[in-house]
Amino acid sequence: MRQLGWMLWVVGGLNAMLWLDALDNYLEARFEWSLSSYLPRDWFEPSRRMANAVSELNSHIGRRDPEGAERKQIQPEPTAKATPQAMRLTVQALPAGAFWPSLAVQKLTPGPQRILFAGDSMMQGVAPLVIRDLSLKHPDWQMTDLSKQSTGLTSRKYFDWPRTIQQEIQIRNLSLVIVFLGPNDPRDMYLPDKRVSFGKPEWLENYAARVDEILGYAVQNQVRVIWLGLPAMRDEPLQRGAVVSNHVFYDRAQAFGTDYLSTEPLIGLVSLPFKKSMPDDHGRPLNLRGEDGTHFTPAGLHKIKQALVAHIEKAQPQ
Amino acid sequence: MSFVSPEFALLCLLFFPLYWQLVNRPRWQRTVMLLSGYGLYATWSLSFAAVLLAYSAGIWALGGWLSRHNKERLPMALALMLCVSFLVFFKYYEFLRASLSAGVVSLGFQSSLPILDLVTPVGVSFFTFQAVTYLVLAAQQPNQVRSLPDVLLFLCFWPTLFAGPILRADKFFAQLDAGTTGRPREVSLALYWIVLGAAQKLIFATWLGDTFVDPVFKYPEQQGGLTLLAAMVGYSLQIVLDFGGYTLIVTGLARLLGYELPVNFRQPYLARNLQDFWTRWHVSLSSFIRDYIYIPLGGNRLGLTRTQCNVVVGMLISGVWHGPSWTFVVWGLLHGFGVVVFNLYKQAQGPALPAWAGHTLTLLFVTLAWVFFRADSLTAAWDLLQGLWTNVHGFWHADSAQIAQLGLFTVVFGFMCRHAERLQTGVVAGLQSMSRWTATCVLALLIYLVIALGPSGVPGFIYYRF
Repeated sequence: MRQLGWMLWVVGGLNAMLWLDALDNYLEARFEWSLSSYLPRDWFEPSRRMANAVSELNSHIGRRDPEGAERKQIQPEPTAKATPQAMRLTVQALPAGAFWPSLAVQKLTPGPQRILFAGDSMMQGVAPLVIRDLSLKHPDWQMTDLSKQSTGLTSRKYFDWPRTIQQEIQIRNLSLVIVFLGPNDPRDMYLPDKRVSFGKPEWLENYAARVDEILGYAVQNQVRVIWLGLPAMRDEPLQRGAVVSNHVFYDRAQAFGTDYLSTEPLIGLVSLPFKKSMPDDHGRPLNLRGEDGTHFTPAGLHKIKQALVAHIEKAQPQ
Repeated sequence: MSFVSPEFALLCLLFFPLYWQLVNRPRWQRTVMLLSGYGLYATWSLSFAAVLLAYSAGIWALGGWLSRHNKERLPMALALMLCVSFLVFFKYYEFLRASLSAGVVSLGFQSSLPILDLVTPVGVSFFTFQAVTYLVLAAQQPNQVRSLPDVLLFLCFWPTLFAGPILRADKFFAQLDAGTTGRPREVSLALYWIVLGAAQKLIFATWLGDTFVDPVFKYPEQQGGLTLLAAMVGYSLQIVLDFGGYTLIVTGLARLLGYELPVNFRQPYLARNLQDFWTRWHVSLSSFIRDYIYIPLGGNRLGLTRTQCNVVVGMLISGVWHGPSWTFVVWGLLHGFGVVVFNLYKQAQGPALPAWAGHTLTLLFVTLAWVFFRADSLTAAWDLLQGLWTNVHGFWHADSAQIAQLGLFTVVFGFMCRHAERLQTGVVAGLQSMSRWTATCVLALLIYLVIALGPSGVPGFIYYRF
């Protein structure tokens, strides 16, 4: 048994070394804990090189992201540094019953649209319904759903949304990007040289900068953006995250002249205590939230879909 | 915490050596096992762990009470009702409320059932059925009633806690009493199962899911008929590799702890008829349904009609057990009526089909039924099936390279199923003949390859939902 114990340790240790870089990314995304803060940088280099080789191999055999190889070729031009208006670095909780209202300022370009749906598991629920609905109304529109669960803007090592969206804008010549994410974001951020605690002004500045990367690049390329705000969350940390995220999403959309669609009046206000249900048109309680208090029931998804489709239809040129 | 996550691997490295160190102190070892079970469960939610503790204590008390009412029917019925009502309340309340409300409202009345903010504890379907086996054991064999720590360990035995296989109380306690636990058993076989299970899940099941199944089930209207068919075949393969892979991993882990788990799979896609399929697929559930529902209902002892009714009821419960959704109801009923048709054909002494025809028919039926199991709603399942013959893109609109990959994979999978036992014997013999260091290097390399060919992130197991 002692020999077996040693054997397991050797197998575990070898694989930990060979996957050190990936392990570091995983631990950072999952537990906000970075190995690279404690270990010399050189230790990560062999595993990084091996991981790149494996990634190449995987893209050759069609595994993982089939469009990854194409994306790698694309180097988006940097976003113009000057943003219309800098982010206010303090978040004030809105009074009970208040919320950031929707912004509908953009008009779509005439003709068939090429739309990208980006986001986390929130978007994974909404996108299929919206795409189905819009496909029926506009069979000539091209729609791509890249939503990926457990992603967000905080951890770029795990999934880099700003870069992915910029690349997609180039590859697909998009006319509209719709973003719905946030519950994975209320966590500390690892910058190249330091760790920044969630909610601090520096965190807010960096988080807003990531939103700006998306919005700035889209505006530069005449691509419309609809950013969906988050509704109330049952878990306290997620609820605090929703307060911060909605503030940033609204502020940046306003600064760049893009659209913000508030889901709060549809599903639940962040400034009020969490409730699973809301009355329907006949005053009967309608269960809108999944068991986890984060995601949505089919009825909740349907409400968001209706609002988003109506928002897109209204943005069409007359 | 997933059994294929890095944090679980790290915990194993710390836990197993400690556990084996205590081999000569079985009481301590069981305490460590119990604490680790609750610790793992608490990683999902601390309140879930408290609920499980309270539930297990309740089951222990009910077991003691039943043992004092030797084989009386009323106490046993009461105890079982209490035991199962826990599952019904947590897992099915919202489904029942919504269905009842819809029915009542359609009749012009108001529903008064409130919407409750309930969260279903992970693995509730599994540990509730395990609790049933303990209560029946306590009622039928009062001398088998166990101490509180034993019952707590049985209901919180972490290899089976989250997604089975469903343990039977008598088999589990027999292992404890025999003193065979605590020492790793058949180490080469256990390691083979763990690596094979991880490969099945991380490499093949996720590849099938990502490539053939998920995009198609999400957007069936965008696909041609052949792609829809590929998704159906892909899901049939994905679910057996996913759940089979999970079962292999936990069975291997249990062997390293010195426990033997019940068999859950016997190459289900080699079945020659539907009845045969149910002796090979999720065996710990199907045998539970047989012994604790079908036989108590009368089994095949009360005439042909009653027997077929019992079959349908058993299959319906098996379907509903998976989750509060009409798709599982239809899946269970489909299998129930399928078995009834097979029984009636056998009863009518219809001509025996050649083996290949029976095999093909069974596979077709099972694949068709999986559509309801996988789809988000009955409408979605029906849309997908309808797309097979009425499709704006036409039947042949598909990525031919992907279809060829799936075809090749299916053939290789079929071949591996037929020769799985021979392969296992060969690999285990090979591992045993290697020196310790060679075996360690081979194992490290295999795990490296599994991770390299697996997806990024930690994928969830299909059966964790149930």
